[in-house]
Amino acid sequence: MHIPDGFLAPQIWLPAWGLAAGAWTWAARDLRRRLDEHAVPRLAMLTALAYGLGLIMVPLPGGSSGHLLGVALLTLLFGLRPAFLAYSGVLALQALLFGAGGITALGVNALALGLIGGATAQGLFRLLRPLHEETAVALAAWGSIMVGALVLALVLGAQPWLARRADGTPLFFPFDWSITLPALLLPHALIGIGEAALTLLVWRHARRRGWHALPARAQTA
Amino acid sequence: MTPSRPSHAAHTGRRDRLLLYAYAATLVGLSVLHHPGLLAACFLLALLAARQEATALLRQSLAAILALNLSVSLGYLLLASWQAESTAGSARFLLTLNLRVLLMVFLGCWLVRRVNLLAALAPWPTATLLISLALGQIETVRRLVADFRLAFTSRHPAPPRRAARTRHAASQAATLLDKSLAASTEASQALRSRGAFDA
Amino acid sequence: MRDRPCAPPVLEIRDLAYVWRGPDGRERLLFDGLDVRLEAGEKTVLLGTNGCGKSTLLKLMNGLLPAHRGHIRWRGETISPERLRARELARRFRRDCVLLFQHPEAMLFNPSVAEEIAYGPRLLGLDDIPARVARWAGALGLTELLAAPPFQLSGGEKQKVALACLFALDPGLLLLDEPTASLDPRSTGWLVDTLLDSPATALISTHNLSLAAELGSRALVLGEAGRLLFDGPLEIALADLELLARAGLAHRHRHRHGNLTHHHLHRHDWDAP
Repeated sequence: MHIPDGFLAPQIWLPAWGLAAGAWTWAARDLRRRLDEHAVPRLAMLTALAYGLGLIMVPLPGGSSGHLLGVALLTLLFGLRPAFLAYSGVLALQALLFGAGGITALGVNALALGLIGGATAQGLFRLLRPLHEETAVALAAWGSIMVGALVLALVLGAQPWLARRADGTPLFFPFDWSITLPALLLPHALIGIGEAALTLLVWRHARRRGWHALPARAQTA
Repeated sequence: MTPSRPSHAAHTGRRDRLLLYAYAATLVGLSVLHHPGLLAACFLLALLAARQEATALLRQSLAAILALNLSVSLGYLLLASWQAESTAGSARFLLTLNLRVLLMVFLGCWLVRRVNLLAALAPWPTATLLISLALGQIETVRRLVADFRLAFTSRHPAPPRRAARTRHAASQAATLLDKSLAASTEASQALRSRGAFDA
Repeated sequence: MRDRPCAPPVLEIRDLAYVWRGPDGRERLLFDGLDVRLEAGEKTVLLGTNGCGKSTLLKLMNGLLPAHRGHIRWRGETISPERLRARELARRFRRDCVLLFQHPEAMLFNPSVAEEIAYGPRLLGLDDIPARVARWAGALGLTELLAAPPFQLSGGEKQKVALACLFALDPGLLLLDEPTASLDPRSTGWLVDTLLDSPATALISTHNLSLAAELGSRALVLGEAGRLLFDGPLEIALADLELLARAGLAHRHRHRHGNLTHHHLHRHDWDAP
């Protein structure tokens, strides 16, 4: 679920690129300071991991299936900043190397799904962990999908009044919030369930492997 | 990239960088161009410039955008007829939107075929290292996921239940995690062993 | 063929070709016109170097990849990913023809070793599941590990679990891709004994020549781009150093006998990684 090229007005995608560039600088500076010479190989492997997670098909309630996003999982295991960088890297490689397009919308997609989605996962997890850890993991994953989809729906739905001709016809994506909000949020409520189930199963695996120490370390700085 | 031909590498990289900058500028230009006739002219120009690759690129781009653009266009037509919008206005919008999306995707596909991203990034060794390492590992990841899918099919004399499909997806994710953690340690050790951090 | 002269071969490949697509979109034609027949009970060794298409051939035989040209027939029925969408055929084929993947971790996804081995039999509704699990876990030395999650095991242990999963179905056609790559000598010995005692037909890929000598009676040797270089008695293939050299399994290098150093064709019999 991300926005392709050509549906966003430059009034949105250009500033989003600027914001994203600022966020990448912030995330990368922090990563370099803490992980010294391991930073580059580690980020490369995280990027490949984020790419691989996106290849996995998750069965959804109702018999269909969708691709895993994996941002919540990466954030909970490795921290917000590395996860955001890795997910942005996947978007960039897909646009510039694998021919999937999306370079103009990259800023919006990275901010909505990687940064805001990841931050939602981290926030929900910290908030709910004292109550029940596994519920916190599942809700963090579901919430990250829903908030990511919400931001995308808001951005898409803003296009018709941001950019239109004198006669009122739109120039880019034509539908407003009355359509984008239900069209994105309803299916993602289901997609989020698949994401939550999978994130929880892999979280348990990570616990058994003794990786629960990872987010603690990532969060200290 | 061999030490004996540094000028060649730099030259290739410059061409790739220029193409990347041109691509970025074109995307900005296309975003402020709202005349369907001009967009169509640009598209024709791109088709002519791509010469023998044009058909393949066009097929690839159409396949990539068909589902979404068709549903957005049909949805808009329905809504416009409902709200009794002018037909000329609707037609102009649909042409503008679809031509712009098609042209952007077409140029993107063309870029992927023409530009060597690693060469373009030559002045930034950290970025080059990062992408080379990531691409190597992505290949491993692709193969692993493909094998997982085939093995799942191979082990199923009867269709799998949903619980099994969920477990299988989780097992893929867990295996990818294990592999990338191990690969990350290996890669830093290998880089250290080859003196990459001593320069 | 010996006992039922009219029965079709267990597996028959005619004029097979496969287009392999690389990560960069580059295409390569493999096996350009391969013909192979596997008769009932035969143990055949598939020899070739890395990248010659051994794994791809086994996946084609297991109905997982679409052939570009030619036919694959299993007990007289044409097999392809398309045709295996029919449930009834898939049920008979997947029970009879099993594939051990080169990287067995790709096969494992259940929460414990016991459930992993029981998965296939349970899906088929077989009744003696605990006995099957106990038998094959015991045979492969996995009894202690039955409760462990498969992902926690070592590479060799995963390979044993994957083998137990296959054997638990009592298959009639075993396709084994480098089955001893990470097995210890004891388990390798067990596998050789089990295969030789079993009435099943088996095709075993390897580049370990000394293991090949123990495993089968017939050899298929693949060369560059999966072209068939040899199909015949194994001992003839193993003695033909020129053939092995063309297949990349023997090579010429400096070699020492006492104080004499000279060059000649040479095969190494260790297990390559």
